[in-house]
Amino acid sequence: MIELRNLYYAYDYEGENVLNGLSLTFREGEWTAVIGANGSGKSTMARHINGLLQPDRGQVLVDGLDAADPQQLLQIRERVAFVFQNPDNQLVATTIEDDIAFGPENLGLDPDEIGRRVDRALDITGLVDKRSQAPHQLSGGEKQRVAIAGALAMASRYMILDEPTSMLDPQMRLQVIAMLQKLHSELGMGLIYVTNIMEEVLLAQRVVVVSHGRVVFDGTPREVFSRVEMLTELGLDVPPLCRLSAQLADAGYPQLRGCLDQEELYAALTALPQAQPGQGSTAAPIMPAAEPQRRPYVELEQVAYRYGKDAPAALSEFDLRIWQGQRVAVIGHSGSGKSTLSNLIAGLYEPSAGRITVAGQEKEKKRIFRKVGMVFQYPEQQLFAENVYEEVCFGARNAGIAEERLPQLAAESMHAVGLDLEVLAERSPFALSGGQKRRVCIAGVLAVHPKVLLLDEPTAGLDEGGRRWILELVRTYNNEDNTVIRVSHNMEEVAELAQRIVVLDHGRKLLEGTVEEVFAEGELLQRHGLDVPQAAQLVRRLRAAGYPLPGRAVTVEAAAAEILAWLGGGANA
Amino acid sequence: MLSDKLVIGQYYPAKSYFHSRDARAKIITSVIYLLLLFVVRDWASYALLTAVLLAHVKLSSIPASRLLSGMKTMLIFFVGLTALLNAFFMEGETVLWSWSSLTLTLEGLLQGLKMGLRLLLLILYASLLTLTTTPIELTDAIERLLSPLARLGVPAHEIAMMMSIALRFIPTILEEFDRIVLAQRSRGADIGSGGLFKQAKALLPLLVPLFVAAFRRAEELAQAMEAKCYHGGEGRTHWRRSRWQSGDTQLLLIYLLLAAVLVGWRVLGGAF
Repeated sequence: MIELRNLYYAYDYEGENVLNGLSLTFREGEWTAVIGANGSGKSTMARHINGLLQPDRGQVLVDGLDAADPQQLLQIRERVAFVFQNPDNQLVATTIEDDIAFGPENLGLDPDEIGRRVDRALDITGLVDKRSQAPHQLSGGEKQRVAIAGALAMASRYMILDEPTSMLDPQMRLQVIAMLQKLHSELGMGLIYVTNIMEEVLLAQRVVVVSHGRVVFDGTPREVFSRVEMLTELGLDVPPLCRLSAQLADAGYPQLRGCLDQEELYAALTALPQAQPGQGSTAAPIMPAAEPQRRPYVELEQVAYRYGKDAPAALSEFDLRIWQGQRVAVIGHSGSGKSTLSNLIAGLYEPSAGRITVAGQEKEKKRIFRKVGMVFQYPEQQLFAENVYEEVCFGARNAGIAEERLPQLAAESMHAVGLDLEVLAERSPFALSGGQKRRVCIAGVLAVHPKVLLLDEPTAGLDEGGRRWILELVRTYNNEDNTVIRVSHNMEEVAELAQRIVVLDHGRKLLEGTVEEVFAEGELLQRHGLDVPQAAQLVRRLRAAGYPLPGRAVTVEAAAAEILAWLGGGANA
Repeated sequence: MLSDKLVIGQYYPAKSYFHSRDARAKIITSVIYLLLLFVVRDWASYALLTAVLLAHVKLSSIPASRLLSGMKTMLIFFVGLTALLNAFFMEGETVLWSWSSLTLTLEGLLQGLKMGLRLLLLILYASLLTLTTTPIELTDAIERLLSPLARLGVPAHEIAMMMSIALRFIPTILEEFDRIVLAQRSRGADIGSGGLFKQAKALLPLLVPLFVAAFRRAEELAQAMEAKCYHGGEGRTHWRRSRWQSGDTQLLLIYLLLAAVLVGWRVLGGAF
């Protein structure tokens, strides 16, 4: 049992308390999810359990061992393994097997015993054939599995995982989750799972909600997700089908309240007396959208790209046309070529074959960033200037915009991202909070007034509040003139935002069309390891089972409307 | 891209005579070989050292293409430059060719060839060492070779751990550098043009994020190591520690013999 007793902690003397009298108990063999907005103190709490941080006040006990005592701390760390968020920064050794051996070596174990533990950990995590590879040759998901294997080799009883999947794409995320389910059910490992991804919370037996350094809720996933209001207030997300369930319940179907996933909501819906299978479809076939008459703003013709002469094609025979004013999403998993595509559009790569035109011009690489503004993944990692003003003006200055216009441009673009230049101009960008850093980076791109705003996974690592804000920004920036292209693997967000979707797979275009058209190909998407939004799956499943509803919705709101229309119609009939 | 180019001397997995030698033996013999390169003067000795290198390649089962891959330009540039500089700037009597102040003499040409050969042997031998030895073996061997000095206050374990971490993170940081270059170019940063001052200034947007990231990595890695019970070299065991075998002693003796012959030859003023 792990006991946290009345913990207080501040990162510096004047600073606010990050932990504010937090008390919590974790039982052996239990899977506990810990959720909370960015800055709520959940990661800080996690680092107290194995003594990476020591509380200013309060006590941490692990199976009776006191984390404040250096002698007992090593025993605690042997019992409680820690898997960090960034897969790159927790692997120490130059090969996988040596990395797994690192912990047992520190424990001073006999070499034969270390060998046995390494073999077993490799076996459980399915990494046997990767054992002699170097960390940089592995995918992010594999690196996280190595980190988990390292924890297994310590023979720990508990494992703390601090947002271990937040930097992974959905397919890798599933691999890691499957691994954890195995550890929990077969080895009885207690998991303390800090996360921002609400679907993952459903796997836990218990959920703890942390806010302002305290525990504000402690219960089962069902209990937590039936409190949609509380979660929204705390800046937290609700899994899409829980939201749908709550919306339907509020609209007059209380029997539908409290469903957690597709199975439950489907069962509850079909059990309603109003739910009568009808005579199949009432839906008109989806009409393909007509292409605009104007010239496309961005046009790719038979484009191919290779990273080296002998490297396989990262992108091949690629055609794409994007018109001014569109909102386009590019989806695909890691290695599908979506980053290559965005780098080509932004003029950062020269195509190996084919032609790219932006605004009717083919060759203008150096100046292309004035037309295509690109926000890289984790843009805050590119901050460098001495103050916020210089940071925001960097791109505009490079674009040759006159010096006297810069203050106004900077002020406007800072305003667009919800920050006040007057307050922050002189501050060092490194002194800002994570969310503010990202806003400053985006402001720097907006200051150039690009006609195309290209965002690569802009919401990665943000909590629900941050995600909402980015979605809103994209919506506002997009108008008749301004195109927004979003590279993403998050289907739910794409469904909410895009008008058109381009799906990539192995460097080729798998699908292209409106959101409805693309999600109508659910089976094809799933075969290629991409999900369809939960709400979309549900309405399509209902329709396939013969219930008379169009089965077209992709967002939760549209699904609620479709289902209510169907149930309402059924009641009248 | 930068990260693609640095494959020189990356470990080549194989089973061979040299792969199975203890890394300590390999390091000691390498040091002997490199020192000998600077002792020898005459062609006969160079021939002998070249023969040793060729035997080394043969006993390493490393294909010549792998040995030379990635370093062709470097070899041509450095070896060629050294040879040329020496050839033209050595004084000598037998003038072969001259043009204004440039004079090529036979003595200079021969000296240039020797210097070029010396550098070539040095580079190839050093990369053979890293091609046949994993980074773990290498750093572990350094730790063990330095451990007698630990009593004098030399932090043998820490030095080895630092080297090992550096080797682990070089590819990661190179990848990161590529990414930063791309990102700053997307913001219009003009990299690699303009005068010296402008170029130095253009490096700031690349170097600052690189250092910031390196510090963040260092911090996170330190936490990860601590979380895995790392507490310095004390009480730490090693999973796969190589054992010194009779073959290693033999190898060492062969090199000592080689050194004796070459040094003796030099002292006795060998001909050629």
